[in-house]
Amino acid sequence: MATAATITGTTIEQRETDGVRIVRLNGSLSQKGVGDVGHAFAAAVRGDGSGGTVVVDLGGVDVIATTGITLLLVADRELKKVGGRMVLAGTRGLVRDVLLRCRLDKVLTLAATVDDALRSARRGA
Amino acid sequence: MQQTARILVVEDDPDLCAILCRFLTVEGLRAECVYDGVSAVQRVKSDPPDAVVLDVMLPGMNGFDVCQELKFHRETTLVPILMLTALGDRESREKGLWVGANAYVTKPYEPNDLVRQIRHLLDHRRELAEHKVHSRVELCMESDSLLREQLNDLLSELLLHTPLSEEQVHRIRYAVLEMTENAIEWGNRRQKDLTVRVAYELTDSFVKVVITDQGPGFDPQRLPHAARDDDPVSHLTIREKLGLRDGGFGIMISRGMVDEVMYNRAGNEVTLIKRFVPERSEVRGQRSGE
Repeated sequence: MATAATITGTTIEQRETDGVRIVRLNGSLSQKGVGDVGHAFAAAVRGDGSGGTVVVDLGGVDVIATTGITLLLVADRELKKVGGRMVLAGTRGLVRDVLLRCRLDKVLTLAATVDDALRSARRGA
Repeated sequence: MQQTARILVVEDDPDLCAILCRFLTVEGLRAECVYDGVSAVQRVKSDPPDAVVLDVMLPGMNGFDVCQELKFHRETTLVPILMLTALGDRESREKGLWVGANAYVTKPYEPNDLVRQIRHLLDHRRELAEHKVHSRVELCMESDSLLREQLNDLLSELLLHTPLSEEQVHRIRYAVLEMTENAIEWGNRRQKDLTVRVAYELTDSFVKVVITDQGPGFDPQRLPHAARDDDPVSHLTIREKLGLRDGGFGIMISRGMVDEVMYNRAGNEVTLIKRFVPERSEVRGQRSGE
């Protein structure tokens, strides 16, 4: 049976809670998926360029390849340049395995859930 | 006594079909004819021949579609297909290989060469059977193709009835996706005229995937800009100094997903192997017997 990600491709949603931007990705962060949402994701994380905390909800992502990791690393670096902070939340299964295997928990901030990430953002504010 | 090999000839011109069948019979092969693509698929599925000689320009379903339909299904994927066509251009030849044809011969052809190619395919098929290979698919794709994920859907289909768990299948897909993207980006440097060949082989005890690019290769031991198991992040600084985009995780990720990741000497072909581990009860039984 085809998964939703196969049918709809990779998608991005954005909302704001207590002044924290939450960017949710759904589908596959492979080369094709990054091609679908890469620019929109970079713009969503960048926002108006004033920094702040951005929570990236990866709960809907089932695959992350090198291209997807690159997307996250670049967005994190750009945000740090303007004094912002990116927190990855909701990673699961193989996506979490890959991030931990690449020890990205050393260079990116990971939270178990979006709520945890928001709590961490409030403490950091 | 070895049975005479049965060849299905798919050709819409009845005269050409009859001539070819007669020639194959003289050469000691058993030949049968069908005249359109849909009948060819039905015949192969219901009564698989030892090999198919397939014309491309057929009424209804063309030869490329027939080939893809047969190659992309587990039950018929091992039947060798020789495409015999007037379409001699590079694009058609590549398309033939992309949909899984084992050989591509253009008309006009030398009958003896055709028979030699058919015998070669039959030998290859016997060899696969001796090695207990259940499925073997070789596909070729262009470097600008976005078909990588569909390729992996095919792999998942092939692995559906193996002892692998869903997560293990997902892990193999992951490794194949990473290494195919590597082959296109770093091996072929995204040159559109270069292709990547992906071959899947499924046996009783393992699945093997071989990914070959047309680039000059590299030394896998000398990759300062790639992540290593013992130090997965320092390479990011090196990449920044070299002006490379972030990344370099592909090989390391793949190593974590399958049992073996091996490069050939030239560094332009990578082989991934995932073995089927016996069920736990089997392992326990073996241990208790030790």
